[in-house]
Amino acid sequence: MKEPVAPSPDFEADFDALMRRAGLEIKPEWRARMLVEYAQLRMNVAVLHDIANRCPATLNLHQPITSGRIET
Amino acid sequence: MSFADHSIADLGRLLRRRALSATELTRWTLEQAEATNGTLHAFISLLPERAMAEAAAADRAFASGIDLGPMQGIPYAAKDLFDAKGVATTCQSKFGLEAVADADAGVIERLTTGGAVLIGKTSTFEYALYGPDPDLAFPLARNPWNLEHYTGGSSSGSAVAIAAGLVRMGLGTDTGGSIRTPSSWCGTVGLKPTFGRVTRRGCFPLSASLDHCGPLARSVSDAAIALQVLAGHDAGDPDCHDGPVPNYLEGLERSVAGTRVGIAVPLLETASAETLAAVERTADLLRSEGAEVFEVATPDLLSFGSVVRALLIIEGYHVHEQRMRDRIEDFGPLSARRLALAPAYSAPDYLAALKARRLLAEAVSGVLRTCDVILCATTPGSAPALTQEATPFDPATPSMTNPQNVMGNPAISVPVGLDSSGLPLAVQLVGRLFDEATLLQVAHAVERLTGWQQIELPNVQRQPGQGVPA
Repeated sequence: MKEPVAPSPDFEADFDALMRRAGLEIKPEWRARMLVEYAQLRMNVAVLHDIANRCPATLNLHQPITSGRIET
Repeated sequence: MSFADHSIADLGRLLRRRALSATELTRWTLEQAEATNGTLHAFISLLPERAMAEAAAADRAFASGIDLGPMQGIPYAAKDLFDAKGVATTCQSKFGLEAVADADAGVIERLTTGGAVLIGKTSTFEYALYGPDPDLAFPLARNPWNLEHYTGGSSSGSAVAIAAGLVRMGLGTDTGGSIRTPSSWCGTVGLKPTFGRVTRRGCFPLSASLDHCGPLARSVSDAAIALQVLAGHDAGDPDCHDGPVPNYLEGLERSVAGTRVGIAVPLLETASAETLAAVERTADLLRSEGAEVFEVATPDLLSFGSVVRALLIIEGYHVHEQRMRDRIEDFGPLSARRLALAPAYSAPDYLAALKARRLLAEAVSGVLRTCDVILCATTPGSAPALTQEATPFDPATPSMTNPQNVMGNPAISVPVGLDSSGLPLAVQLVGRLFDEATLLQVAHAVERLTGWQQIELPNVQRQPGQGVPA
């Protein structure tokens, strides 16, 4: 398991820009913990794209998750 | 022995032969809930007027020979995410204090039609998001097995009310494990039905694509009875399934001989030694009854957890965006700082999450073509001490309950014994889409074979009640 990315100046600048753009006022005491969770989130996003990119075909993403699946 | 030591089916028999009245049972339940709430904080609000009126109506129906179904006259609790007419749906939040409901939620409506008795609204995590967060409008529910350990969440109060022997059934919601985790840590049965099996109308949303409603219960048969009443189409919930509802009770006692049970090894990646031993013991007991048990390969926990995190945060933020911008300081810190990360996801990330979800669900469907149910664990171990910080999205410790929200398949947490520190341990079973009947049948066998019902509930100073039938 990879460790979350250590906060770098660019990483922190990205985070600050995101919060500013969203119009959210983050309490200073939340910041350190949020940076750790932001790093973890970026790892999760990489996992998602890795799975999604393994599928060559187009999928119908509009159908409910219970539709179109065969289990018997 | 107390009233709550009787199963819902037993209580129903006593009520029907008038050995017990719904009024008497409800009065006792309210008294016990009141007496223990200062310690356990299971309830945000008790509803004595509504409960006594519903109990009296159930008694009148019994007296007239009217049978409204298996929940008639039975007290239950509802997580405070469900609307109850005339009562604030607080969602354990400062915002919710002003939100008085003008109608009952769909699940409460179904239970009321079936003659059940709502006694109160139970504690949760703020908006069913993250916890435990001590900095909220209401106190944390406490685990009756050990007050210094987590209850799990977010359907905490419903689990606590059952584990304390106050009610046999409580309603919960499950977006990433919120029925099953508190069930595992409080030693109750927790059933997340198939996505769409139970209506969500009148339930405050967290993540529209992941939210499920269902029962927590003292036993598998209690959960089956509750599902029988709760399941069914509701035009008020666009995702609610419009299909037949089978009889969940008739096959419950059936043998598991010949049933194929797949142990999902990748879903046990984070299990403790004691949890692994509990899963292996369960597998051996099922084999002893003639089940065919073998290992199966599923995708890993981190893949499922990454999908849940993305959908839950993005869709949850969509629900709360205006509140986050205008009054972020009125959220608890855990909810606020985790929801605030939603803008870090892009539209291509969201579509990748939806695509990954479909691929992971298809992979599980492939596994369920080779077995009837999947056996895994609900939580890595028993309830952690409150001093440990919860890190639900740490990629190093992915959740064991997230996969079933991703795939939408029914899943049930069944307590199987106590660990070395005297806290409940549970296993999890996963069924085919809309096949809760087989899932409940295997869960019932697990409950019987492990002898969970013979383990006494923790002593929280319940009073036995006058004239409790033996």
